[in-house]
Amino acid sequence: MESFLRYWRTSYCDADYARCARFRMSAEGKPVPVNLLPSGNLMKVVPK
Amino acid sequence: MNLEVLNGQWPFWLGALALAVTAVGYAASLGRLMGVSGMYERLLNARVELSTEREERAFQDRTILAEALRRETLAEMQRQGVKDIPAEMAAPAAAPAGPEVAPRVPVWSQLVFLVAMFAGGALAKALSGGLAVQAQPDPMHVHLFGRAAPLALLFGGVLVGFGTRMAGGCTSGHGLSGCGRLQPGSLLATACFFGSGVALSMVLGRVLA
Repeated sequence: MESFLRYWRTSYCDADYARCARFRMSAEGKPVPVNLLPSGNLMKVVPK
Repeated sequence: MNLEVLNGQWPFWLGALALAVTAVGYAASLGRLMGVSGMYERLLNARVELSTEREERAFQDRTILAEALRRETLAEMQRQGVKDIPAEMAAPAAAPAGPEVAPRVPVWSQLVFLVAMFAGGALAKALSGGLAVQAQPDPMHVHLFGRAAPLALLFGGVLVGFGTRMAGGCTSGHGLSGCGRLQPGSLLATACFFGSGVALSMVLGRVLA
C-alpha cells in the first residue's frame, strides 16, 4: 500500500497540492470524507 | 456529605478541578482534544458527519482498504497516461500493518457532551439555590442598549460564534486543550480572548460609572 500512497503523494502533495481535492475541501472548512481521493473521485469499497 | 462548599459562589479551585478532569478525561478516553465550539459545529453538520462515519466504518478492514487503493491508483495512473505500471504496484495488495489512528469521535457523543454541559451548569446553580429562568435582559444590557438589548445579545452571540470558528477554537479548545499543550496559536488566541474581555470590562465600567 505504501507504493500507492507514495504515488498520490508525489502527484499531488509534492507536485501541486492546490489541485488536491482533499486540500481544497479542508481549506473550505468542510469535513473531508475518508474515501475522497486527491483526484476528486470517491474510493469505492468492495466488501469481501 | 457536606455540601456547604456548593452554596453561593463556588471556590475557584473547584471549577478549575472540574475543568481539568473534563479536559484530561476527554483526551485520555477518546484520544482527541476537547473543543466545545467544534462539537457545536459538528452537530450543525450532523448529516454530513453521520455519512462520513458510515464511510469510515467501511474502511476499518485494512485488506479491503489496500485493495481499493490499489484499484484506484492504477486507474489514476492510466488516466495520467502511464503505460508501464511498476511491477510492485500491479501485484496484489498486501494488508499493511500501519499505525492505528484514533477513530473519529461519534457525533452523537458530542450532543451528549453539550447537553451534559448545560445540565451540569443548571445543576450547579440549583445546588447553589439560585436556579431561575430569566426572560428579561440583565439591567446592565438594558442600560447600554435600551429596548434593543435582546437583539444586541443575539448579535453578540453571532459574533462570538463567527470569531471562534475564524480562530479555530474557543476558550475550551484553545484555552484548556491548546494552552495545556503549550501550542503557540492557542496561547495567542487565549491571550486575545481574555485581553479583549478585560479591556471591554474596563470600558463598560467607565461607561456605566
